[in-house]
Amino acid sequence: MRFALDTKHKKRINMTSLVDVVFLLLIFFMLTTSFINQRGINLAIPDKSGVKSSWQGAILIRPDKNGMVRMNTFKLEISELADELSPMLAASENKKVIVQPYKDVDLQTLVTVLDEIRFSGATAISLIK
Amino acid sequence: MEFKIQKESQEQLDLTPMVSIVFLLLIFFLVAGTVRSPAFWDIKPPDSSSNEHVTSKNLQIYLNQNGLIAFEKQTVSLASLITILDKESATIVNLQVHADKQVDSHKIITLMDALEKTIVNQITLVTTTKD
Repeated sequence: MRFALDTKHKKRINMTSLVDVVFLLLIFFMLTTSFINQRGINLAIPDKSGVKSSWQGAILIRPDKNGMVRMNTFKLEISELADELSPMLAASENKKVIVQPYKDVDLQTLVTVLDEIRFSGATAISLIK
Repeated sequence: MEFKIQKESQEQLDLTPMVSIVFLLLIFFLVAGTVRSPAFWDIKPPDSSSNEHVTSKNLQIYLNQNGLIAFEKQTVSLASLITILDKESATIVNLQVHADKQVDSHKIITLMDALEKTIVNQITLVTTTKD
């Protein structure tokens, strides 16, 4: 007995359903994936032990909503802060900074100021109202 | 003149290259991105030059541009947030704060002052890179 070998018409796997599923997965991941580079700033909550660390001699920095910063007694722009603060911190004993934003200062301004202060080499930053 | 009509072996569209490209894209999105949970509010975090990476394992709280606080997809007042945090297990040491860049900075300080009474001893303010 002889069977006819169907060499001409090879059975092909139907890929349509596979393509459907893969497209669905692709669309799901395209919509839910974010490429935002998230970073963080760690802020310590003040000590709860009741032992208050000394902030005597710390430098007071007060950012305002116009992009200016008042440092101890003089006023300067945020961009100049690091240049002015670095030598002051180098000379100071405890390298501590107190940041007290004025009213209506947005978070972006505060974060920019915190960046500058950390860049200047402060060891401790305290945030007060 | 007569033309042969090829009825039997109809040309099938070859899907292989398309499947390859789609798989490649799929793998790219799987590997390169992080799946984000649907945001409660549209919060734009502030830019910072900080290089510290954040993990999503910590408890997340949200602070929108009006100073409203959300915890686990519910708007809560500061007082009730403190109550909730007190009830949580004693293992929370770090709280991740997603605050909008437009929010009044005093709101963050108020939040930090309120957290002084809880077991939280550090918050991570989520930021994005500048570029």
